[in-house]
Amino acid sequence: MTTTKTSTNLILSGSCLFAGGSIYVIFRPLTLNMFRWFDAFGISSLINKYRESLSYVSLNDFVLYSLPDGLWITSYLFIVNTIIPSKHKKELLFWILSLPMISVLSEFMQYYNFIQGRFDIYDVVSYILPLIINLIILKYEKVI
Amino acid sequence: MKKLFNFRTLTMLFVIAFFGLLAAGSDDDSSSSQTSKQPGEKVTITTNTIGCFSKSDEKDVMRMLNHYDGDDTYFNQLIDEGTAINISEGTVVQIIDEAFGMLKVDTTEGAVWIPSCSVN
Repeated sequence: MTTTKTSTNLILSGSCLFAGGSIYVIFRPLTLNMFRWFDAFGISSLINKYRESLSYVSLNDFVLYSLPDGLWITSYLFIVNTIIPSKHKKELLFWILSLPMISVLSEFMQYYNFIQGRFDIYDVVSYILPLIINLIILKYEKVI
Repeated sequence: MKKLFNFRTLTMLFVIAFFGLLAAGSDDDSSSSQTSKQPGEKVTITTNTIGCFSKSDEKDVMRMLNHYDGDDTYFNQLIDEGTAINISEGTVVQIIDEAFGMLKVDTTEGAVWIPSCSVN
């Protein structure tokens, strides 16, 4: 993989991670574990400042609850494509499929009450869509 | 013999662990015993604290408490000015609002903001 492609992948991965994280930090309820961690790290006032400055913004449920998951999976896929060389086809496929599949599985485990949480079909779509797009790109590039 | 873990695999395991941490952080804690307090709930003050009538004053109080060196001048000044009150340990108050790291509680002297860590 060229240095340019590696840099582009890492920048895109970081951007997706940041965008998804920002939605969580700014717009999600304060009952999430991460807010207790922020409190422990003493950055609650900084987070509060950002939350208050954007409190007038209202996001729809998909953007608020499902899009961050999709952005995080996309970020993960960019990292996998950077770390695993395309010539290691099986290894690449294994890692590409692993996290999205774990996420989809956990969503269905929520549906059957095996784990805590609320099943949301849009979450499943958010997990699968980036995966499908990645597989199409790899197919198009004749990697798989 | 083929190596079980190469550098790539190790890196990927770290990546997976990182995303696992993200998932843990984004998990809702509202059903655990460590949950954030909810409006309407009655709580007991666990340590003497300063409650401010203004949310922005309470933010300053929290900043000062983070660097507390035993000097109460700033807190006493707020109380003298009537912008804050002392709330003693053991006082039972009702939560009426919440913000990150803070709770708005109802006291006999009115509604004030307090640090969320000062209640049980």
